Amino acid sequence: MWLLNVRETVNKYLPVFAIFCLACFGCGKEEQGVNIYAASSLTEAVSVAVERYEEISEVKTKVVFAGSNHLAAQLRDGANADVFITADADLIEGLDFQEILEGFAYNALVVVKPVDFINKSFELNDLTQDKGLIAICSVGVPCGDTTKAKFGIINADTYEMNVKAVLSRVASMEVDLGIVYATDLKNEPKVIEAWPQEIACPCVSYAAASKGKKGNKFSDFLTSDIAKEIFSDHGFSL
Amino acid sequence: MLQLNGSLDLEHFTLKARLEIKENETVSLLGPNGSGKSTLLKLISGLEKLTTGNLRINTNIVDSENTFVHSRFRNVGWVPQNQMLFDHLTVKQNIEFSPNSSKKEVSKLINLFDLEHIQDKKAGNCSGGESQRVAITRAIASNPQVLLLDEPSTGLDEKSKQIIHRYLKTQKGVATLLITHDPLEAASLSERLIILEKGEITQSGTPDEIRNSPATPYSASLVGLNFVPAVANGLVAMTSKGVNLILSESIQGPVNIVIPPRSIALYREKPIGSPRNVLMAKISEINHVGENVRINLDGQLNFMAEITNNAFEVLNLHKGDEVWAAFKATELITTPT
Amino acid sequence: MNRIPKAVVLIATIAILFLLSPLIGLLQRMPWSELANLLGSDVILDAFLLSLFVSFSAALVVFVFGIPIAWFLARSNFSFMKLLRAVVLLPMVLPPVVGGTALLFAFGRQGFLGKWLNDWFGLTLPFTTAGSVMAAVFVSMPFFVVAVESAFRSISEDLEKTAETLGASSSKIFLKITLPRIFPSILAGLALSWARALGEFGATITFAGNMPGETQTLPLAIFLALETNPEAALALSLVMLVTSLAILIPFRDQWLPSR
Repeated sequence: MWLLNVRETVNKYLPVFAIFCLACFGCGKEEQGVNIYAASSLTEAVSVAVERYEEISEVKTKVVFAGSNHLAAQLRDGANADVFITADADLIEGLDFQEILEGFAYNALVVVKPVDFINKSFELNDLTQDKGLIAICSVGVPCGDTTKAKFGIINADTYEMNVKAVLSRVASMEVDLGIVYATDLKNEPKVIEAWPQEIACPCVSYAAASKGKKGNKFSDFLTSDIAKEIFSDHGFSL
Repeated sequence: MLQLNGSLDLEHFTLKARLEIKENETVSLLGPNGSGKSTLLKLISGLEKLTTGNLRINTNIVDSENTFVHSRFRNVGWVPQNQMLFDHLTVKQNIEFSPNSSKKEVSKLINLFDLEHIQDKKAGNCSGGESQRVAITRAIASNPQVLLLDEPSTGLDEKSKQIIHRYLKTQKGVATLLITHDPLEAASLSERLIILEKGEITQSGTPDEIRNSPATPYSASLVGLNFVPAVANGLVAMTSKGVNLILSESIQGPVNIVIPPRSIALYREKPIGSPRNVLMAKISEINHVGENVRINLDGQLNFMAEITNNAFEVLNLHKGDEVWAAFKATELITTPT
Repeated sequence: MNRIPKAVVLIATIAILFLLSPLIGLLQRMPWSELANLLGSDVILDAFLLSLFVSFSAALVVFVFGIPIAWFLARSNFSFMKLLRAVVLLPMVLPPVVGGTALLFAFGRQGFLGKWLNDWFGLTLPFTTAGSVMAAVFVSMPFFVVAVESAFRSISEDLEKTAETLGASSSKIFLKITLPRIFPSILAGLALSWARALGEFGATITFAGNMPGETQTLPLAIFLALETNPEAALALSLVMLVTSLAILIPFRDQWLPSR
């Protein structure tokens, strides 16, 4: 008799139970380390930095690299990060962070061409002509806004969603010219300067927003000498 | 003019045919289901290829070991059993579909087959009888040298049947081969009948020839006779099931015995008397045909008796009744095989 | 209604709610008051017109090339038919971005065909509207071919053979008998592949790039707007929704495999 009762009870509360289980799966485990969201242009530098940070502080890190706008959108929709390193400080607005560190590093823009085109010569005027295929960042993303600020209107053939996409277009030789960061020029062997250029601003200025003890501690690390050396090695201006 | 002498290997048997149809001839093709009749038509129309032998249409070889003329160039009018009308086109568009048709001829045929009032109707909306007439008209309109009809009037209304029969009896100039299950239709439409059983032509001749000496049980059943194969030993012949039949003449060896249905008399009680063949049987089917009644009987021997309406009423027969059937030895037609 | 098992009704309801929820979410967030303003912008107009052009051009190409492919697959008996069918259906299972990358490998400036086109004719396909059409054709062709091939198969070969005995040429039979009979399936297949072409994103952005007026179709514009201007993204989504429904609803009867 009591078996019947159990079955009835289970049937009655099964939906609630199911939802509870689902919610638990959604919860996720408690993160021990520090969650970092970083702009894709910082990929190489921040990867090295977190490695050093893990050695020094013995805190585990988890980093996600993507376009700054993309990361901001995810954070708006409820993703969780302790640190958000963005190429556009405006994106921090409305997000739930305590401390904001502005301008700890800068990235200048440079026009590049595929390394195999070493004998092909280009000049600044070519950016507004119809001579070759040009890829740049789209307006609305940090590198795109800065490109417009520094170079004005360009006769581009494709506007990419983030700087890494522009870089890969040039690296794969699908385009002749691309406007990428100075750090990309330094780290990517498949692209070279399109013509001799000065590393000068208008630049992209990085900001780090953080919250919680773990987050703020990492943010402080970004201003340390060790971190500064890493950024400088990778081609950032300080 | 059609000349065929060849064979086609099929899944269960080989179709072997040797036949000739002249320009003005209409020949009927009969046979049990699955004997290869439709396949024979497909062979002539070019939808199948002979394995051996050759086929000529108007003395041109269209199918042989090293020749095969595609059906589109054979000028054969083929009307398959399910008509295959172009449903989305109108009746008139169907009929004039062939590039060999002429406007004049098409109009004439539409009148002849009484299709004028539906010529703008979508073929998919036609009734069974209308569809069949359209299909045949369409084939004739293509100006064929050979006309192949697969069961042209099976299941049709009387009016459609009459129109089709009228055309087939009066048309000239096209060698016609038609498949039918109805021996009466075959007899009325054609001068010659061909009987195909399991891929082989077992008999070919005029309706009278077949009626008078059917070569196989099927031929006999066509003309409404009872056909019994047996082994004779003097005046007695024994069937495969062990039934002894008394003959009127002494004969030895395997024979085919025909028992005309009208010579069978039925009794409720076992008759005694003159030397007759007497068998017990159960009535399996009763069919009234005009002034007479055909009764199918099952027992040691399966056969059919035909008695008058009077006799039927006197005996008060019903399906399932057990009766005695008797027939004289002198009525039997015995032929050695 | 009484004959449908309760469990089936329950499961169907859950499924429909699942499919409807994102739609409801979209409509709920829509900035209705600013829609007029947003819709007037050049970006949206460009993306809209370009999407129409690309999707209909792709549908045309798919129609012209898809019918022979479908006929071939339905009627031929070559032993490599299975392989050919797998190749034709490949874009259906390939992630679109992979498709776009593959298109670059073939038609990009360094691609084995693209290099030849560039050297001999000065023709570059990536980053052009033609490139967008190519990407759209690549991903949407299989949908059309699948629908039309099964339609060809459903036509009795005896019907075509009967037409042959009447003396009609192959092209006459194809145009007057075969095609008209499968017309509903052609329409359904076209609608399906058009919708796929309209929504195409991964292969387009990889192969054709992103340029307003040339290659920035509605899906690309929406993706970009999501990060830079969420309200515009919503407006664009509404445009896509209305466009899709406007074309697909009149074809709703063709989805049914009757006839």
